[in-house]
Order: sequence, then C-alpha cells, then structure tokens
Amino acid sequence: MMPATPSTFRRWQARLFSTPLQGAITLVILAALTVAAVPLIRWALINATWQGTTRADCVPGGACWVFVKARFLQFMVGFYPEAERWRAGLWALLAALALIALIKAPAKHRGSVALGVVVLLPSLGIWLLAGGYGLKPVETRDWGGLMLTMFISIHAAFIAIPLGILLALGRQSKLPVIRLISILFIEFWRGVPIIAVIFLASLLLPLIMPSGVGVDRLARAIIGLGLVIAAYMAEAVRGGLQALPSGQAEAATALGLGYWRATRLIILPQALRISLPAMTNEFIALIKNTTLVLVVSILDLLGVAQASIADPNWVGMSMEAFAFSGALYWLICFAISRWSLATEASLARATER
Amino acid sequence: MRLSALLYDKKIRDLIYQVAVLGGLVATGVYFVRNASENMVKAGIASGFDFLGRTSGIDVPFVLTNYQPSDSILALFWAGVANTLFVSLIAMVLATVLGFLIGLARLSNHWLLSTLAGGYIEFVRNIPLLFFVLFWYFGVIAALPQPRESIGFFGIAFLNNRGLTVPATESLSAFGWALIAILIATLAHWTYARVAKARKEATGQDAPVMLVGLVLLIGVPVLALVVASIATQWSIPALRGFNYRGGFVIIPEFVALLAALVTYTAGFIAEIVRGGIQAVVKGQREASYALGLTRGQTLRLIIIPQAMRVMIPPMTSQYLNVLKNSSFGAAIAYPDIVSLFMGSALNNTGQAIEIIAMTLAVYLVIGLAVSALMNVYNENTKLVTR
Amino acid sequence: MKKTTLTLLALAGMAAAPAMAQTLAPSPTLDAIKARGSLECGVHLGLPGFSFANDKGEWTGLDVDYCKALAAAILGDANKVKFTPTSVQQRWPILQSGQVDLLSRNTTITFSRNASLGINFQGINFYEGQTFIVRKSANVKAAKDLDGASVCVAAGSTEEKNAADWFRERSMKVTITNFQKNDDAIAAYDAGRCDAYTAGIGALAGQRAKLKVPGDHIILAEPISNDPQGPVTRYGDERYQAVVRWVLNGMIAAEALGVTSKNVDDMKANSKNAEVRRLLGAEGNFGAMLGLSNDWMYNAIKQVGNYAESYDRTVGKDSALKIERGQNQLWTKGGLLFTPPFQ
Repeated sequence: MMPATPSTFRRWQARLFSTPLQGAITLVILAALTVAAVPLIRWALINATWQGTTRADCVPGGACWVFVKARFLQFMVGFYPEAERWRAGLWALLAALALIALIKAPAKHRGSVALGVVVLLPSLGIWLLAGGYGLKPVETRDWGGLMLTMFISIHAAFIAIPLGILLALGRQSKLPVIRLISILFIEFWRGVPIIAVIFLASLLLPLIMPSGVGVDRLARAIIGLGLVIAAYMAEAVRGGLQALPSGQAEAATALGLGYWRATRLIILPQALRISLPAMTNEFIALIKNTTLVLVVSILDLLGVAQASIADPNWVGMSMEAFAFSGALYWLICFAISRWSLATEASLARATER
Repeated sequence: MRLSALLYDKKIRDLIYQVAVLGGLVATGVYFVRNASENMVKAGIASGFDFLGRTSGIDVPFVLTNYQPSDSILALFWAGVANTLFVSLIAMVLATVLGFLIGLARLSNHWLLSTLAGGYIEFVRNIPLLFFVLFWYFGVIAALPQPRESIGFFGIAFLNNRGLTVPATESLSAFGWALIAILIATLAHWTYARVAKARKEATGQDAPVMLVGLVLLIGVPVLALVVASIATQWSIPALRGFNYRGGFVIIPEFVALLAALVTYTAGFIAEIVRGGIQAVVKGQREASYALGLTRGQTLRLIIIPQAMRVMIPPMTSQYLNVLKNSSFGAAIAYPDIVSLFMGSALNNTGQAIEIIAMTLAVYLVIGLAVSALMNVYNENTKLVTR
Repeated sequence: MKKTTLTLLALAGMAAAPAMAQTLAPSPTLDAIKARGSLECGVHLGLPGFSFANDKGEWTGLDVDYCKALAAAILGDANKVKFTPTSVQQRWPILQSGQVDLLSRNTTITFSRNASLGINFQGINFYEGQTFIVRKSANVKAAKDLDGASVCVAAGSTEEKNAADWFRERSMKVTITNFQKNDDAIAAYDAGRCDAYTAGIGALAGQRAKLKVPGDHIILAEPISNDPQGPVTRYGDERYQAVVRWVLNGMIAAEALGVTSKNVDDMKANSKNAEVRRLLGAEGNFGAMLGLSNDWMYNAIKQVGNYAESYDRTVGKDSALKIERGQNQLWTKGGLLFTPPFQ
C-alpha cells in the first residue's frame, strides 16, 4: 500500500495543482461542484425513500423512489394489458437479439443479416405486440413507455435509413430532375421543426387517404418521424459519399459495372462505413425526438412520466418521474454513442492495415 | 432493333428514368390532393385564408409587435414570428459563447476542467431537449420569489416568478437614432479595418485596430444608448395589487426556453469547436510559438481563424436547430409561432392545413435566410487555394 | 310507393326490424361501428370526474359514461367502446378526419365552432360555468378582485377567450399565459407562476386534486360565463347524429321518469307509463326506427344508469368531487336539464 501512495499522489498533484493558477482553478471548480452536488446527492440518495408501497410511505425532504417502483411496469410498457406483458418482454429480447446479430455478424454477411433484420423484426415485432393470428389483439393506444419509445425509434429508422441512402444517392446523381427532387425533399424536411411534422402527419395522413382507409395514429407518428430523419440520414450518407475518392466510382465504371452494381458493391459499402458515426448520431437524435409524439397524445416514456404525475394518488412526484425517465434516456443514448465510438475506432484500425 | 438501340442509349434511358420518377411523384401528389379536397368537402371544413382577417381575441403575455387581442389573426401570426425570431437569435449568440468556452475548456490541459467539460458534453448530448425545457421552466419558477418578495435592481427593475419587469417606453425614436449611430460606427470600423489591413500588407505597419475597434464597437454604442435612454420618457414599474405595473415584462417562459436552448446547444457547439481546433495541424501551433506569439495570441490569430473554416458548416446546422428547437417553447407556454398559431389560432378556426402550411413556411424562409448568411460568411473565410 | 309500404307495415303493427331497415336513411357511421364491433370515443386526456384513466388504463367519468351508454345502445354492450385521449388542439382534426365517432370531452358549445369546423353539438350533458381557482392567501373573493393578476389557461380553450374578453370589458389588466395542455397550466399555477388558474367549475373541482396542497386553494363560486358542454359529432350522417342526441336525451328522460339501472327490469315489465314503455322498448319501435334494437335504451340504462346515477357516481355526491347538481338538475327541480318527449 505504501509504495503506491506517493506516485498516485504525485499524479493527482500534477493533474490538479501543477501551478498556482491551476490550483486556484481546481479549488474554484471543487467548490462549485460541492455547492451543486451535495443537495442533489442528499435528495436523490441520503434522504430518499426506497421502501413502501403508497405515497404515505414517502419521507419529505428526499426523493420518493417508491413512486417509481410502484409505476415501474407502466414506465416500461404503458397501459399494455397485464396478462400480455410477456409479449412486450419477448419483443425487447427479439430487438436486442437483432441488434447483437447486426453488430456481431461478420462483415461479409452483414448486408444479408441487415436485410433479414429489416424484414423480420418489424413483421414479427408488430405481430407480437399488436396480436392477431392466434395472439390476443392489443391496440396501439394501450402501448406506451420505454417499449413505445424504442418501437417508434427502430421503425422510424427502418424508414429513414433506406430512404436516406436513396436520397443521398439522388442528391449526387447526374440526372438533374432526380437531383432536384432529392434536394427539395431533403431541404424541406430539414428545414421544419419536428414538432410541426408530427402534428402535420397525424393530421394530414388521414386527410389525403381515400375515405375509409385509416392509418393507425402510431403509424402516422412513425411515418412523420421517418421522413424527417430520412432527410438527416441522407446528409449523413452524403458526407460518406463525398469523402470517397472519385477514383472508386471511375474504377468501377472502368470494370464495366453499371450504376446500381457499382453503387451496391463498391460505393455504398465504403461510404456507409465512413458515415456510420454520423448516422448513429442521427439515430440518437431520433430517440430523443420521439419525446415529441406527446403532442399527438401518444404516451412514450416521457409521456407516461407526465401522465403518472397527474395521478391524484401520487401528487408532487414530478422530480422523481423526470429524473428516472431522463436517466433512462441518457443511459440508452450514451450506450449507443459509446458503441459508435468503439466501432469507429475498430474500423479505423481495420482500414489502416 | 431500333427500339432496343434507343433503350440502350444512355441519354434516352436517363430521360425515361427522370420522366418516370417525375410522373410518379406528380401522380401521387395529384391523388393525395384530390383525396384531401374530397374529404374536406365531405367533412364540411372551411378552407381558404379568409380566417386571417378575423379578430383573434387571444391575449398574448409577451409581445414585441404592436399586437392587441382586438387585432386580426394575421397580427397574431406576426407576433408569433417575432417571438420565435427573438428567442432564436439571442439563443444562437449565447449558445455560441457558451459553446466556445466549454469547447476550449475541453481542450484545456487542466485535467479537472477538461474532464468536467467532457462530462457536461456527454450529459447534454444524450438527453432529450424537452427535459431541459421542463427542468429550466419549473426550476426557474421555483427559484424566483413571489411578486411581493421581488428582487429589485436600483428600484427600476424587479425580478420575481412572473418575470423580470424592466422600465419601458412608448416612444422608441431616440433609440432609432442610437441604432443608426451604432450602424455608422460599425461601418466605420469595418472600413478602418480594411484600410489598416491593406496598409499592413503593403507596408508591414501595424495599426491600432483593436483600440479603435474598442472605441467604435463598444464605446459609441454605449454612449448612444445612454444618451437615448436619458432622452426618453420611461414608465417605471411599481408594485400594485398582485404584481408590478408598468414597464415591460420579460416572462419566465422566455428565460427558461432561452436557458434550455443555450445549455443544450452549447454542448453540441462545444464538440464542433473541439473538432475544429483539433483539425488545425499541430505544426501551425508550434510555428506560432516559434515566432514568439503567446498562447492567447496563437489561439486568437492562428488557431481559431483556421478552425472556423471547419466549423462553419456544422455551426450553420446548429443555428438552424436552435431555430427549429425554439418550437419546444410550446411545451411551456412561450408564445412562439407554434404555440400561438398552431395552438390557439388553429383551435379557434380549425383550419389546420392552412395554418400548418404557413407555420412551416415561416421556418423554411427563416432557415433559408440563416443558411444564406452563413454561406456568405463561409465564402469570406474559405481557404484560398491557388 | 315506399310510403304506402311503410304505412301498411305500421298498420300491421308487426314491423320487424329488418323490414324497417330498408326504409332507413343510410348511416355509414353506424354501419362502421357495428362492423368494427366497438365505438370510438374521443375523451379528455385526463380530467378526474369527466374522463380519467387509472393506472390500469380503465376510464371513468361523466363524459366516459355517456360513451358507454351510447355503446350499449348501439352494440348492446357498454364495454364495447374505445377511448382516444385528445388534447385541446387535437380534438377537431381527430373528429373531422373520422378517427373517432364522437367527442365526449368537456367541450363547450359555441356558434363559430358549429359554423366553421364542420361539427354539430348534440345536446348538453353538463352546464359548466367558468371560474377561477386562487390561493387562499391571495385574499380574492370574486373574479373582479383579480385586477393585475396573472392567470394560467389552456391555449385554444373557450376559457382562454372568455377570460380575455371578460377582463377587457372591465378594463382590468390581467396577464393570461396560455399553455398547450390543462395539466401544464395547472402545474405552472401550482408552481407559483400564476395567481389564478381558470377553467369550468366542474373541471376545477377535479383538477384541484392534482395540486400539491389542495386545501390551500379556493374555487371562486361566481362564474364569469356559461359553458354548456356535450357530445360532438361531424356534419353529415343524420341518423347517427339522431342516435347520439337521443341516447343523451334518454339518459335524462330516464331520470325524469324514475327509471334507474336497479329498477329497469321491473319498469320494463310492469310500468303503465307509456313514455317509460316506449323508452325501454316495451311498446313501439323506437330503437328500430333509428336502426337499433328496440332495447337500446334498456341496455344503456341497465348497464350504465340514468343521468343522475352517472352524475352522482362521477362528479356528484358519491364521488370525490362532490359538485352540487345546481344547473345540472332536472328542469322540474329547478335546474336546466330538459329533454324533449319520447313520442
């Protein structure tokens, strides 16, 4: 123990107090941190209530995590019928497995695995959650919570990624009409606030369909989000396309490959690899933006949190509800961004060789 | 034979592709529009823009235009546009300042400062903006005192949970003159800087650009504003009944939305700043030190001007995000265009399509203007390669 | 020709429902409800007493009860109704675009809504009067004491305009802050952002429960406006509109005639009152005339109850809100509730 102490001490001293100015900065920051963090820790941990079942068990002065415990399943799945909640769990497992398959698949098969996921996950997932064909039907209005947040994000991404790739290719196209249409589409959706788009989608979609054709309101929100994110994805992919040396396309043409084959075999695999970090960022933005479905009364994670605050039996629990749901959002987005950094690094290593 | 030859001709084929895509899009569009008009006629929903002339009757707590509840819905629309622009512009400036500070802190060689800045960035980037808006709103209201316990500033401005009440004036003419003086000073400075730069390039002589800039860009505006405020009649807020009367109220919704936009966007701008500065090759810094420039000078004269080039495109999209994200104000009753027009007005008239189209157009037009401005700036700072 | 057939059938007195159905006006909405097997009802996001979902997602309230009664009348089962929570902004588009069959959500009847939104109001199930909730410490006795106050309100509600008009008429300087949802507005009021929150008396009674310390606030007794509320449908489909209208009338008539969920079987079998017999389908073909089964109101009353039962259970004396009947009493007992005769 003794030998380790001096070197650790030195290291910290070098980090924090190498010069008088540095020392002063350190002290100011530490003081500010203490002022900010101590009441927070006291509220969230020391004075918090962990045990109990009703509001009466809450001790004033600290957080009442009993509330989160009592409402935990609602935060996860909303009003999904109790007897059917195993289906939500199974869906989460399915989505997780699909994700792992995508990440772990060898580069050679990644394309076909991705195709399989894009086809299988929505069809299996929607059947599992919505029911029918042997399962008890559960309407989308009963879905909610974290499950719904992830459902919306994943399916909007399934719309956004392929459409975004097409739009990015369209924007680079030599055909003027195609290029113009792509640019207009991208710039329109990138120029308007998502809150307005979700409202627009929920309002306009039923109106532009022939009468009698209904579009589920969850589907409407997903389509709206998918279109906006497609425009952002297109810009992310464009970055990758532009980073590719033009020699790649020229070489492919010289080999006699047509446009689509050159794009599929030569251009896209390289471009997508370059734009993966940017695309991941857009996916994180998408998860964060799902909170806006609240404006069309769809109860995602944040929506469930807000709805639970209105419960007269649990008055005054807003801090707890927001802290818990906020932490969940943070964990998910942080994990994805870390994964993206790690892949970026490993891809960089792979290309350096 | 000839037909297949035609099909294999690249030009013809490209043309067919384009016509097919365009035709498909137009057909879909026509189909949707026809459905919509049929459905609307069937549902008996009024259409057209006549509703803009109707009296709005909606009271708005924070108005920058001359809007009154007895004015038309069109006036309400402009009041919303003004509020959206107001909060967006101020948020863009403040977020840039805070973002630069955090970005530089992230690159600092002080371990704790850099770690803290990194922690802040990771925290901010992974939480939905809506949380920030709600947090600041209820945090701001909770932290501020009730009207009777207001915090006074020299007896003319008062801060409480109804907002910051500041003196206001009916006539702004003196400030109009001040604004003109400031514009002239800015123009003068710009011309002077140009001349000084040309002279430096020709003769190598340094001119006191900084000092003159200080006088022209800070001294003149301050003087002009002080003179203008002395020359104006003020209404000083006074406590009567529930709250202060008179003056102009900066509402807490504005402060909360601004704080949320600034703290959130700063996290993204900080990353752009860090990336931009790191993109400047190390040799530049070393050469600058070798020339005897101090650290501050190196940062100001060598690093940041070069980093700006890398930073401008992502900064543009952050500024556009601020504009679009100002619509989150609707969640906390900040009377922006979404809240006033897509909220109150839509509800009173029910003309959803017209109102949404107008709202989207506002964002598109402002967005295009911001992009154009940033493009001009980009052209000016672009690396001139020979 | 048709008319003679009808007369003949009526004379025969044995008019079976299917035969009648051929002469009925087409009703796409009723057909859709029957095909779907459920009624789609748009309700308030969460207003205790009127429409509120507990943590299991079960809806209760006065507006909810009406929809259940309508489902019972059309489909024979009060549980065959699905509730779509709607915000203040969304309610019109959701109704106009056909996503719900009706709105039963604490919505005020106004001329301009009726005239320009393509919607019809089908009667009154609650006479609401707009008033304010204030802190006891503020020492406010009536709305006229609110000069200089700031008031939280839901954007786009009738209350927003009512309050602005009322204060403007009296040259009172009141700041009105408009929130997108009632819940946001009341949360802001509770946090001290406003001196008062305004809504209908009934709504306020329910929302008071959401405040941190409900006892610290009082609801001003004197209303500043009269806001009659009731079910809303789209333009078109007259037969469906008649069903919506007469189920509401039926619930009120049942109270006036003394028919309750408890005695409805007995009344149907033994009542001598012709109107009761017509209401419950023991006499005449009232259900069939609207394209429903003749026990339409029997089902509604049996499964949901008459207006008084529903009122007492959700907002009245047996509920947490304990709102007096007041204007929502029958016209025979000094209130305003009135129903045209079942003849």
